[in-house]
Amino acid sequence: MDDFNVRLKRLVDGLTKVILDSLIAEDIDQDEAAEISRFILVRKKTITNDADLNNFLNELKDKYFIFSSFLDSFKKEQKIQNEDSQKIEAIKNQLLRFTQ
Amino acid sequence: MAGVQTPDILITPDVAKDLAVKLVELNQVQQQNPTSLVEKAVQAYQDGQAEKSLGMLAGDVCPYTEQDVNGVLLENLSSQECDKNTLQKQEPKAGTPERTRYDKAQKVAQAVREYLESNGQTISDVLRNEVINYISRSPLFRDLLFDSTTGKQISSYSETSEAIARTLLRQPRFRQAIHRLFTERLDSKKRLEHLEPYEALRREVEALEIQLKKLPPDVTQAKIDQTKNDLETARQNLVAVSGLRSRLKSLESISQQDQRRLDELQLSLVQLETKIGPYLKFMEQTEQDIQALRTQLLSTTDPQQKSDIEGKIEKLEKDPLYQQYLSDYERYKSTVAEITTIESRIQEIQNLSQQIAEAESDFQQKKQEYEELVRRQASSQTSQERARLEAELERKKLELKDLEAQLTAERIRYASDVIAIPAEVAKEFLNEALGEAATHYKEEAKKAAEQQKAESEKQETERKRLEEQAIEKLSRRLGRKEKTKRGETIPVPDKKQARRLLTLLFKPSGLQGFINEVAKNKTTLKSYGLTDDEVKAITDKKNDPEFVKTVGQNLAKKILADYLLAGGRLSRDDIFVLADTEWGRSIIEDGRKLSEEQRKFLEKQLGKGVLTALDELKGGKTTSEWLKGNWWKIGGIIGLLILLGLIGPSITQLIPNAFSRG
Repeated sequence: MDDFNVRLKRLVDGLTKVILDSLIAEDIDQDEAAEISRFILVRKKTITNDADLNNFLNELKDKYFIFSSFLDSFKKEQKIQNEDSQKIEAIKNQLLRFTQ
Repeated sequence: MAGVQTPDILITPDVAKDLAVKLVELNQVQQQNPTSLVEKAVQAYQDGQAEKSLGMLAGDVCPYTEQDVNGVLLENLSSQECDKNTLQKQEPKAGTPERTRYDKAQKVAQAVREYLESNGQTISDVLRNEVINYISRSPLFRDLLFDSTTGKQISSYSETSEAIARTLLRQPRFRQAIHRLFTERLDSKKRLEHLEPYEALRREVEALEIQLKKLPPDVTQAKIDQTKNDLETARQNLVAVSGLRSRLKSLESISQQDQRRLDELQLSLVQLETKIGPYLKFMEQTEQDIQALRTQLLSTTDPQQKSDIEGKIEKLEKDPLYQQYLSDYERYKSTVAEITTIESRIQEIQNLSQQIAEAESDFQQKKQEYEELVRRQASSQTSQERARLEAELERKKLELKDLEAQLTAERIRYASDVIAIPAEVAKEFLNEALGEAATHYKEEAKKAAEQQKAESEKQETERKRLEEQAIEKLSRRLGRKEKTKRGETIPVPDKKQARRLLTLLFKPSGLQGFINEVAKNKTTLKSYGLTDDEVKAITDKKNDPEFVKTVGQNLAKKILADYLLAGGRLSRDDIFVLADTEWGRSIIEDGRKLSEEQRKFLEKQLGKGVLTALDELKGGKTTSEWLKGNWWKIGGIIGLLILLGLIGPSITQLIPNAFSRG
């Protein structure tokens, strides 16, 4: 499984947990849980790249309040990961130049 | 008092208690555990199958297994006991209505489960038929399935209903709706409301029955007599056994010696056995043979035979081995005999001791039984306890029966709920699908109703306007005649016409008779200048009691005033009749109220006592007394004065008395 799909799976896991927690805490009822789950399952099939993923996250945040906190953390984590990757890439390039 | 509000209810201790109970119950309801669906979804998530978990919540994945479904149906639909091995309820008895319900519910539930599990691909006949049944009964499809003229099924009935059912069952939203109802109703944690109370009560009844069985039997006089006889027998037995005590005592006195002697003898026996042991059998056999020959000798008379036998005996007796061990053998035999005697004495001690002990114990036991029975009879404790338990058991059994009836009703309802899942979803789905059309038609109907209402309000306003206009014309024309002065024609009071109408009003038919006469027919009404529409407005209302009362009363007042203004006079009889009619009393009441107001005004302006002084000036009598004596002098104008409120309240209050014939 590539990095993107790993992230997507992690996202679906996290979203599922949020739905279940909200259901148990009675923040949402079973009908709402069904609607949200259906939305995630349908939209997940259309996500193929980071841009789709970002759109999906924004849509989720706009539509369902229960995800706001989770999505903030997820995006933040994603941003840090991206920055780290970029830094590592830059260092790698510098090292490459140095060795050449 | 301003600012102080009266409470809606008084909070008594009972009300407070009820409220507290309700609040506690409310909390209990709020603290519900997650449903089985949520639990299954959580389980899938914890197993790392987040998408399956979402699928369950979304209604795409069936969360319950065949076993789950059977389990919840058995728990809720069967009244049988649990199987000891599976700990699950047994199936309802065959051939009972309960079994029929259970079988049907199970078939439908499993058909729905298979449908959900296969993501809507497996549509069993059971499921399809349930949907078809609903469709064939639905008014929405009546025209499609039945010939509207004959009401018979159309030739392609089965194809059409089948096609509709197939279309419905293929819809993802239909499947999701089925999923929702199925997971809710087949929740494995679901238990009927009356199930637990019923089981608890049944256990209570069983416990009471066991308690009752454990109670000692009731004490009867026959039982006491029997026990008393048994006691007497035991006593006699004890007395009889007591005679053996001396024998026991004597045996016990030598028992120590016996024991010592026994020990010695047993030692001696061992020594003898060691010595003659190998020949013991030979010695015993020889002795037996000699004894047998001697017996034979006694019965033989033949001398030769006798001689032979004696010869045999001698031979045996003189056997060297026999002779060698004879003395030891004799000692052996006497030792054994003595041991047997001593042992029998020891045994006798044991037997006697036991016999005496048993007799004593039996007597004591019988005595205790007898005393216990006598005590219980005196206290009647058991009877009271039995009566209390029996009453409680009876009450609980009745409660149980009641609860059982409620539970059965609940089972029937639950089975219906399960069986109706496909039909309910079909109904919900179709209603939702056709919701927009229904809303449209509802709005159209609402608009039409509003339009109709506005129309009818407009008509009502117009009718009222015509009615008021007609009444106005009548009030101007009734009891009047037209007079032309300086080219202008105006209606003026006409004594003759007014009198004619007053005569009508004074009749027993009163206002209704008056209105009937005035609005006799179209021609009559038109003669008062009414248009066709106004005539209709009056004719429509002339039998309405409220109309007759209000309009008739106002017209009557007007006619009376016209009559008096035109110089008419009221006779004594007229006044009596006037006071007896409703409209007449109304005139008097109006006059009294008006004069009361005027009196208050005058008193305010001139000070109290002015009017009393005026009364006194009229000859030292009160106004009412004065009226009583002079009523005929003012008969013609009294009505007008009353109408105009010019007579003081002291008179008007007394008018009914003054006018009464008594």
